[in-house]
Amino acid sequence: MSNKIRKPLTHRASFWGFIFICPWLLGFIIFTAGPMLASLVLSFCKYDLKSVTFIGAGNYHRMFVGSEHEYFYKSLTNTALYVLFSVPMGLTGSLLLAVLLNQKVKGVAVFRTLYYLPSLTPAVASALVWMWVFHPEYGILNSFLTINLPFPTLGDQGIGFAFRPMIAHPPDWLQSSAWALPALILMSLWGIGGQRMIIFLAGLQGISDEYYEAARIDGAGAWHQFRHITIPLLTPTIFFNLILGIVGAFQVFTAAYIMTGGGPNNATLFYVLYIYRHAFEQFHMGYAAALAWVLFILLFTFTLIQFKQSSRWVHYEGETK
Amino acid sequence: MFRHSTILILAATVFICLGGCAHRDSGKVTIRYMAWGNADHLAVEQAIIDRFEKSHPNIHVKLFMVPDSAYHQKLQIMLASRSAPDVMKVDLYFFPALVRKGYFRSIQPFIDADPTFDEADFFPQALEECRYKGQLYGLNVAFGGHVIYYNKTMFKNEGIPDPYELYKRGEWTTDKFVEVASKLTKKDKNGRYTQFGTNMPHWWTAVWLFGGDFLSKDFKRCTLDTPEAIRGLQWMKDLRWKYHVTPQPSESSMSAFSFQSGKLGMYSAWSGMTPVFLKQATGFEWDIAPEPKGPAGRFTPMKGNQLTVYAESEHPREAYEFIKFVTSAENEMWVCGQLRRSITTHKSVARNPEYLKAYTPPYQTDVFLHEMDYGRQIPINYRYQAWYEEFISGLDLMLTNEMDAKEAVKWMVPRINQALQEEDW
Amino acid sequence: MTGRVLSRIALYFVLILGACIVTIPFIWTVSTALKTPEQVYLLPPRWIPSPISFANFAKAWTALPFALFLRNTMFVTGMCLIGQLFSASLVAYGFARFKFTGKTALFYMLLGTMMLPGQVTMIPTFLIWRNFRLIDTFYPLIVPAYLGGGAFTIFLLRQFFMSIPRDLDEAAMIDGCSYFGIWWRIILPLSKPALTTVVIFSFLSHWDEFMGPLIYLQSMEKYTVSIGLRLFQDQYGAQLDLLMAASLIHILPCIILFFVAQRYFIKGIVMSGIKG
Repeated sequence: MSNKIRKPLTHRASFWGFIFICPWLLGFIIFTAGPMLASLVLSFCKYDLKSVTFIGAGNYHRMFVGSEHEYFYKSLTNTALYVLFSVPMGLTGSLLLAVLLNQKVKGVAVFRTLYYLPSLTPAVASALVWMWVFHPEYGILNSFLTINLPFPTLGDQGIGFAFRPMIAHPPDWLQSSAWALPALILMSLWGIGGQRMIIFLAGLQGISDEYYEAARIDGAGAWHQFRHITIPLLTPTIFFNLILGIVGAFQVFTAAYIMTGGGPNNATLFYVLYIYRHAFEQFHMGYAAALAWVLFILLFTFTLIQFKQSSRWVHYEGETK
Repeated sequence: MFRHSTILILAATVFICLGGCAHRDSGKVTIRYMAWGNADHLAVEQAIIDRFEKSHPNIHVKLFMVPDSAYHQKLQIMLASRSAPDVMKVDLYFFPALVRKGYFRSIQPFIDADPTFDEADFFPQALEECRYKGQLYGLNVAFGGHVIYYNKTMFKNEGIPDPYELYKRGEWTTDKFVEVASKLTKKDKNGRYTQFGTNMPHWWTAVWLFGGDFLSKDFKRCTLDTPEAIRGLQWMKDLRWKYHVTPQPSESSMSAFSFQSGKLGMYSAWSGMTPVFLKQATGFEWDIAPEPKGPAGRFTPMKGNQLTVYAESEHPREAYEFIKFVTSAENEMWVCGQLRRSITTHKSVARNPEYLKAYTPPYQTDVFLHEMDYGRQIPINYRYQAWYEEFISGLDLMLTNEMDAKEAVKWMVPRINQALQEEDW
Repeated sequence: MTGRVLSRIALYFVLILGACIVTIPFIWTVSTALKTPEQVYLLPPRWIPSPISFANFAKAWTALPFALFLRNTMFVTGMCLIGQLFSASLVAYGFARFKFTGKTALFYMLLGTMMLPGQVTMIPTFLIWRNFRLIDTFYPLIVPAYLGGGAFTIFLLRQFFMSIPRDLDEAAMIDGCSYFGIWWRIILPLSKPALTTVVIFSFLSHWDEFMGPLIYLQSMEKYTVSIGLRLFQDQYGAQLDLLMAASLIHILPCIILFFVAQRYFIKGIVMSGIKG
């Protein structure tokens, strides 16, 4: 019977599916596709915001082997390192926090709000506080790292204890080209209670309690439930946060823009900050467009691969079987 | 289905409700004026506009105040889309690049035809930076160099002569500067700093003080590899890493040891900081002194912001009238003389005893006058943004103690040269 | 039993400790907003102001026409919220539940719009709005919300919609429900947590949106609060006391909204009904 209904439905369905996505398609055609194409064309031009001259692959040449290749690779490496560390740590942190804040805990509403507050705190306020946290001499972090701890020593009277700082020479963090990037990565963890956690929290609501009850009857422990029920059923949300996390982290901008300006010595020159510099400080809009398209292709390929692989681990309840 | 129509109606309503048309009265010309600044500046700009409109009843000025942090981005989008306002403020750091693209209109014809415009009353250096190919493309606002704001209370408590006294005695030198700064720098019993002598002086100043310079006259070559320039840069590095008198390597408004905190003895900054400190540096007495004298003499970088007329403005004459009013001696008596937002560009104002009279700090206002004598124009052309990036990278290497001045210069000079020699791309 | 109590205590300990750490900048914001000007820059910073002063709130509010800015922000945010909620859920429904030619390609195009940094499309986009003669109006800020509201929201809702089992759709269809009916009666009610997240994100992002208003608005009487807030800062630092006071007023509605909305992060009762 179901066959009888479905056949004609698919025709109607494809028509209606198209209708439903129309608002987006309309917006895409009018407002998005044009500027995207324009920037692609501009990436082959010299565009100083006044006149446009076609220069072929000049911008790309400059980027990969020409006078800018040092900055290009530097910004790409910085960004890739940032993505490599901040995304997995952030994802894990957000997921764990979401599970904690999904418990039946007294005052859970307050906790959720408190953990979300960093996303609402004005950027200037958090930047200032972070400056103090990371300050080499005055900072909270280095005060903690230089706390005197008793270290065992071997002296004339046998084993004794000497109080020495936990770390004698703590890093200069934002003022050192070796530690500025790790500092920004550390800082990104502060946002684990934000957007990603909320999405996980929403995702957790979609998992029926019955699964857990069944598992409990079978005598499964908390870890087992987490590993074999929560994680598999949460895969669509994890997948979303992973894709968005990577796309977002590759475009990290504000932290470096406000806190370090890309320094010291370009240690925190992120890719989009590099684009910004060329687009709006050096009037190299054509070159900026070329940079943007390289990032686009990179991210797009990455996302495509993940989508192709997702069928192996992402499980949708509503997928047509 | 009716849900669908609900949405359509909703969307349609939105379109109808939105937006509004500006009404224009005929006969009166409206010019649009874009500037950056904070809430206080907004009040000042509006007051200037009100005074202007009173004396020019046929012109209405519509002010767009744009946040400082995003001003130049917005400006560039407006210029690129040919929708820029009639009058716009531009920072000198961007002016040479923008004027070269033909975004601004020369105001020289208006000046030449204007018998009331007294070019001789301007300090020549204030006009110089607004010139392009021999013509004036704007006039200077917020002009000035660096002065040293110092915590008078801290010097008194220490019992040492303050920079202004030393200046008057002719003893205010870079060596004395380091000596004073060292005396003001304090640690607690754990060896942690609680007070610093000075912030990091500006790199323009440091290099010039020791007789170095940045670029050759034709802007084609970097001259930082001279022994003098290297000494200047090394001096900056030593302030942080040898004498330990300055809190952090980079000049930043986010420093924990701000001048306002009362834990910083001297603060070298633009002449226009007075309104900020009047509000925020309230816990102690403060005043100003000139920069110290180096082996090569006394220097400070002079610059301003340009008020310019948009090339495609439909009302260039009215725009010129407004710029002329804002930069007039009369207006500067108020903005520079009373509010101390910058120093004056007019000789007549500088000569006016009223200009120096002070009822609030700073009281040693002759420092503002002297700036004009030793101030030096910033060597800047349209390639500035390109070589600046390279210079700052090199400076970072030095100030984070990874290289000394000699190595840093070796690192940056070829890069700066390449940036200078490259044509605009 | 003691194990349970202990793990409970550990849970609270971790939660409270974490909350203390993450809220430090916020506490500092509140503390600064309550300081008299001479306390703002004290070193070491004073966490509990004395005397406590509420004057900054009034001062900040009147230093700029914030009542007007707030009205503009409320209008833009409200309009966007409605538009985004409806259009994004429709589009996401289309992508999650239907098969049509080119769907995969279109979906990748949708995702692709997130991957090109905005700096390089800013000027062409601005030119489009200028050609429509809509610069200095609220249209450029609001209309996009009615056209899908961006890839992030669509993709998010699509993921959630795809997690809803299809059995109910099919049952409803047999009962003669239209596709719009299914969207309205089945998908939306089952997606309350997802829609709540969309409400939260949509509200917050438009409430705090800076780049759009900065570029498209010119007349100061059309400014939004986020632009106003940045007018407390300039290259010489910020009027921190006023800035923090104004920021607190600005984010208070966000905190309240979040606090209220997070209640909807509970298991949908209907969900278990489906499986049963």
